[in-house]
Amino acid sequence: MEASSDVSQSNGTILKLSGIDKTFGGTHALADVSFDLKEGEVHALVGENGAGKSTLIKVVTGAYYPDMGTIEVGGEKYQSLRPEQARNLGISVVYQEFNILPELSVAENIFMGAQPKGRLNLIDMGARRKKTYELLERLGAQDSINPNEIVKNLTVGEQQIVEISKALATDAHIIIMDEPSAVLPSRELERLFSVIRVLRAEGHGIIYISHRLNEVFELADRVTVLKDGQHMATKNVAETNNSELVRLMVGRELTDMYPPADNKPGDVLLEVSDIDIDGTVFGVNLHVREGEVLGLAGLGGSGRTTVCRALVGLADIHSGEISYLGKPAPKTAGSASQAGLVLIPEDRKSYGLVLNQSMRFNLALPNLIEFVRGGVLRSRIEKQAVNSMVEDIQIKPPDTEILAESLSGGNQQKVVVGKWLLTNPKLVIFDEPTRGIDVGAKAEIYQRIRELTYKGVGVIMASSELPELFGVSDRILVFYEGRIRGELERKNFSEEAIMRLATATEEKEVPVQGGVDL
Amino acid sequence: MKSTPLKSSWFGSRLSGFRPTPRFVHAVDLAGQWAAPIMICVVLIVAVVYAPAFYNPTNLRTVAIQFAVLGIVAVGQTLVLLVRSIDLSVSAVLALGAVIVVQTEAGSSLVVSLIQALAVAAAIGLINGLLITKRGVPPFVATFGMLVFIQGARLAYTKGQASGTVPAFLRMISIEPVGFIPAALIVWLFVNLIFIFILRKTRFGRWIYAVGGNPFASRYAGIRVDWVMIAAHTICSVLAILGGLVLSGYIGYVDLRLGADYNMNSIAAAIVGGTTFTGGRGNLFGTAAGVALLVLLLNLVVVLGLPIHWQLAMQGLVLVLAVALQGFRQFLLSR
Amino acid sequence: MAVTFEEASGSFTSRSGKLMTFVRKNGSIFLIYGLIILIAGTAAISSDTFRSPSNMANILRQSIILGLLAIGQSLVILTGGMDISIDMMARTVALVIATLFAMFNSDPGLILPLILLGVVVGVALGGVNGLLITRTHANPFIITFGVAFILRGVNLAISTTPIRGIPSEYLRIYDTKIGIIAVNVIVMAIIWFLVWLFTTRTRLGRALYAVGGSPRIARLSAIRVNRTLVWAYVLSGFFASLAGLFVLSRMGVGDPGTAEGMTFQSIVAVAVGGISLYGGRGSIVGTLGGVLLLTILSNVFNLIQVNIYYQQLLLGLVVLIAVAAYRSPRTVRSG
Repeated sequence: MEASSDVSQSNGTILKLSGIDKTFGGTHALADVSFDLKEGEVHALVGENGAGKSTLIKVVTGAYYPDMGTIEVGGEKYQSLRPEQARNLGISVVYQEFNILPELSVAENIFMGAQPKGRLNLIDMGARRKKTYELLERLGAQDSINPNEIVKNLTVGEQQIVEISKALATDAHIIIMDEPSAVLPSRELERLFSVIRVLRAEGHGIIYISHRLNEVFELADRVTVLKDGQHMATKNVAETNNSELVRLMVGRELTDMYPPADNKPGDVLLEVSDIDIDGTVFGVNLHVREGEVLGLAGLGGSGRTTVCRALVGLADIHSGEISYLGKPAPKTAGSASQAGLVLIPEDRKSYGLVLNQSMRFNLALPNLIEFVRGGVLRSRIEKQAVNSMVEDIQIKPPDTEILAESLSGGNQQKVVVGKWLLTNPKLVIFDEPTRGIDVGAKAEIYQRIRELTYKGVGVIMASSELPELFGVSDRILVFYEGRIRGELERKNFSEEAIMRLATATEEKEVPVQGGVDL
Repeated sequence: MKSTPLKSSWFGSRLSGFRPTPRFVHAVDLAGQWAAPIMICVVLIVAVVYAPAFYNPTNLRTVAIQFAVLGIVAVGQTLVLLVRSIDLSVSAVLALGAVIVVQTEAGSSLVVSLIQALAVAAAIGLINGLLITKRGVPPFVATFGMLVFIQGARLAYTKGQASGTVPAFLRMISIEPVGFIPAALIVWLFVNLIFIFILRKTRFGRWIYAVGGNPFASRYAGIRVDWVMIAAHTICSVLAILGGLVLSGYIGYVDLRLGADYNMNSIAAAIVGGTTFTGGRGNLFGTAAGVALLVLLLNLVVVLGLPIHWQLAMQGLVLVLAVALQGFRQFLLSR
Repeated sequence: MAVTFEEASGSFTSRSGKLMTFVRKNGSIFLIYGLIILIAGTAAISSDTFRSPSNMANILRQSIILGLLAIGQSLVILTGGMDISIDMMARTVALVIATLFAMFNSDPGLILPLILLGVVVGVALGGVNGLLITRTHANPFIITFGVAFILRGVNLAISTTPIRGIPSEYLRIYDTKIGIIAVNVIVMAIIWFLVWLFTTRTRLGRALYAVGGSPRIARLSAIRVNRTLVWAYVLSGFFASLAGLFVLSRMGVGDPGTAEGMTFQSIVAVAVGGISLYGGRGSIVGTLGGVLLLTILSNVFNLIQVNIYYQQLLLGLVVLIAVAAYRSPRTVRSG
């Protein structure tokens, strides 16, 4: 932990959010949130998915206007900021998805839109290269990144540095980093950290969002915890520890949205031995039994979705074996679904639904073979099957001709689930089954899952929502950086245990100055 | 949680402050859907008043056959557009039909040469499909390249000389009246019925709509996206050559300039009839209306005695307007 | 740790390392010029007609028309679009100006004003393309395809026979030489240089690459995407007009067949020269190579008297191979 935090305490405040409130439709995203950032400080922002971190950032960058509250920056108070204003005030963000043009050079990317001009109003290439070099030098990367190199030839970490340099080129003073370490392989992390330290030493204010609590303790001076849109605490990093943060992040009550855990698992359906996928997931072993729900926990980018996709043949498996029903597993999506192994993907709009077609079209799509008699699709049979499924999963209103794009999120998800249920699958993989769905629809989906298990269907459920993992799973595997860190049986389910594994936090605590530790 | 960018910037509007009202959007949408039938009525009425020669039986027969030929080609083009692709080689394939049949009939039986023609067309469609799916070539480029290649090959093969009259069989499926309508219309009807059936009542038809509507979701649903696209292109080329055979039956001899307009018009007809470039939307009834509109407009130009450049300009204009309207409409609907 | 910039730039890579980076980065350019050297070299060795200075000078002069069109096409393709109407725009300008010359009794005093007018016409046509595409968000391929057809009709309306009446002084544009090098070749060389400067050293030129790479990211860098696109098409029209004016001076009459089929050739030259058809990548230097290659090939074919039809076939074949060897920079995932 850096000792500079003492110095930063006495520096000026460059950004102050007070009483920020923001509601979207039925969701209260931010409730009376306050946050401030000082010069020469790294201020970490932590919280679960949906806690409000990205909403808060969007308020700062001017992408959202808050319903209430004020933003104080550059000595002025604002009710809201426009994006150009935010940019001019020196606020800039480095996202996980880089905004760089891969075919152009480093120097060009950094200065696109603000190219230094020379004689005859032509771009002064020499000056541009020099300025790029200077920026890279400030960040300590001048020896490894060539200003003329084409960006697509750089490593991810180097591209990230280009992205950061872009921010600096616009004289950013408040730099927000949204999970910067999530996209980096471990060997490039140290460079990122040293870059951040340089930025801090130069007096910039950095808001650092991360799920990895060890990074918070390594880099940050202060940390703010958000939960369910509320500000839980802001502490000096030196005065807190992992356990306390975890407790602040997740402590909540479980309601009885979840069906009783009275399913009885049977034989092993799927056995995965030591697989490597796509260069991002390694050495995964798991098994699922009939009538069992296996939960996959872990933070974004930890590999859960990749595993889900690989199981139905949508990602490349480099080594290892998968056996399904005692035989080698199907390798393509088509043969997988015919064998009863189906995936309900995370992004239902992009991957789950043909939006410009009706509910009926979508529900029938994987099942068409069932409705064919003599080479012809029989609409009577189709309609019967579709209508009974619609009733089953309680889609209201039960009008099967409505276009998928007009359905609510909950109904859309039900359609995606429904279309696969119609195929009588044997193993269903859910990836974020209730994302963006209201409470009532969630409960119905959990009920479906439970009913599947009564019928002897195996279920794998990848989710970022701990309550639902606890409520529905029999066992949970926790992923971190492409590997399984641990497995918990139902009797051992606890939020702290999962978060510890998911954030790769060690068991022993960081010593606290004079405080009480857990 | 969907993010709503609050500044609603209307990119591309010089009229700052222009905000599309819901009624405007609705009007544009309706215009897109009803354009073809309305225009057809307008044209028919204009013809009554200004160009009664239009209703002359010989002219009507010509219109009917042109309608049939374009209609057949447009069915193929519609299929391809439905899967988010496009086929610019149809005009060349169409011209190829007559050439192959005439050149080879001298040596072998009619049946063999017909089969050869269909086989060549299928091969072309297959290559188009493979280039697009397996090599990732943009459909426009791939089929445009194929167009030039076929034209070159045809020129080389015929050495620039058109020759021969077409076999009687081709005349039979084209001009010969069945009752009072030319046989070509029967062929057209046949083709349309088959494909309307396929699109509505078979799995393949569903797959086409699914692939065009969302190729990713289709893949996740286990549909073999690549094969569907290749099939669509193959069918399109085969239908194009069929159209070419019917057309040469009408003309009676092999004409090198055959078919130049069919690219443009088959696409325009489909678009006007409601098929979108972005795939997954459209049907053969709309296409038929689009075909009718185009054929009527072009014929009107001829009957009114306007010179040929009006025809070309008209074709281009219809295409531009149809595309512009559709692009605009989709843009509005997406906000 | 502070190393000066000059010292540091030497430290990245040794000199040979820098050379290797340069070669890797500009691979496609080396390829095309290598090919040119190979073909021209072979031809020069085998045929003394080919290697005669007057033939060489001729080749350079012959490359001007395709060169102008390829420049315009390059700019548009860099933005991720395509201009199918470029040949028709050239023709329109040629015919319009020829007509005006004829109308005003071939007055040589009108040469300069009419040249300017020709440019204005080209720029206006390009502007129409640009505005249509940006305001309606329609597909640029199809819009320019339709516009090409409209212009084809317009051109036929202007004239179907050669338009006589060009003042003889105008023909000097084509004929004036210094020694055996035509002055226009020198002017063209300057134009190539200026265009290169434009695409590598001006904000607008670089904005073309940004927009072609990703309009979204370009917008984030405060680039005015629509304005950039319109400029690309306007410039395309500009170069088309230059091509049309030049053809006029070569033919001595307003030829209704001006620039026939040259859109496709311009696209081939651009693609073969290394500019990605998806946009955002490539160099005008490569386009120059493509133009030279095609011109030399055509010269060689003429010398060895390859049948004109086989030339077409070969061109098409080259295109198909080029297109099949083409790999999209985006991921092409099958299955």
